[in-house]
Amino acid sequence: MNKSTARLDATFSALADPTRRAILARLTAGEASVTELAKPFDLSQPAISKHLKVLERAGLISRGRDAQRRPCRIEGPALGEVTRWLERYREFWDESFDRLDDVLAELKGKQGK
Amino acid sequence: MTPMKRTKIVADPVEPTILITRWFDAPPNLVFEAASRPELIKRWWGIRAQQMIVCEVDHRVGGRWRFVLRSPDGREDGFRGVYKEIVPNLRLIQTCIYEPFPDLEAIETVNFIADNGGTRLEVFVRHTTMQGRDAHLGAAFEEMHTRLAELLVTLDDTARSSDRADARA
Repeated sequence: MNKSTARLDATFSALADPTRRAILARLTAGEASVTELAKPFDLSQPAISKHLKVLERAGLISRGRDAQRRPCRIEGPALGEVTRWLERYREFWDESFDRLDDVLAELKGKQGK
Repeated sequence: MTPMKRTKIVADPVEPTILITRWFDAPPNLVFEAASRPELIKRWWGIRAQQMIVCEVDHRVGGRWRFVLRSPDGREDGFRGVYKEIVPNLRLIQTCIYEPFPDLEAIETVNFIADNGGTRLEVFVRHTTMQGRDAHLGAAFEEMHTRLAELLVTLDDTARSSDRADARA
């Protein structure tokens, strides 16, 4: 297995976990320390650290050099992916609501008669 | 000026909530009707390519609802829940479970607000955890693998350029 394929495997399994996807979603709002991440997720710091290691290995996040805090930030391609989840969710509602416009126009027409 | 018919979606970065807002050119009673009667719901809930093959609605407090969408590739996605509060033409509160994740129950509050001669529809979704919310956002409406495949193509280039970092680790 070449290095690139190994990296892709790491990315694939990193993203397969909902907690890690949620951590990425949180990091789209700005960088955060382990303590700051642990709180809203209701997970222990070691549990969060474990997820962060997986994300870091997959190249989805990077950690700051500040030895105390080591803030995590999302890396470019991962940010794009998180945005894309929202886009697909938006597509679902956009299209549903466009169809609802048609149903409502019909209901209004019936009511007007 | 008539408000824009644009869907606004806000996923809170810290709280496990999603707020979806959209304006409709029809009074609240009609939007409420379209969101309550199964024969109308099945005409709009879901993207055009999907067909709603199950639309069960027991529209009373404590009553159950269940929708199943079938995609062109034959994939079927089920959603279900229970109506918690029904205030005609004003508000619906219901639980919602996406069936592949039966433990992740969300509460949806739907408000029908009279606005500029039409209705502003607000759907406020509250999950119990960020993980639950994210599963709902990320996995509910599409084939995970297609998206990952697209991402992997992008990341392939990034991986090459950051192999240096791997060597250091």
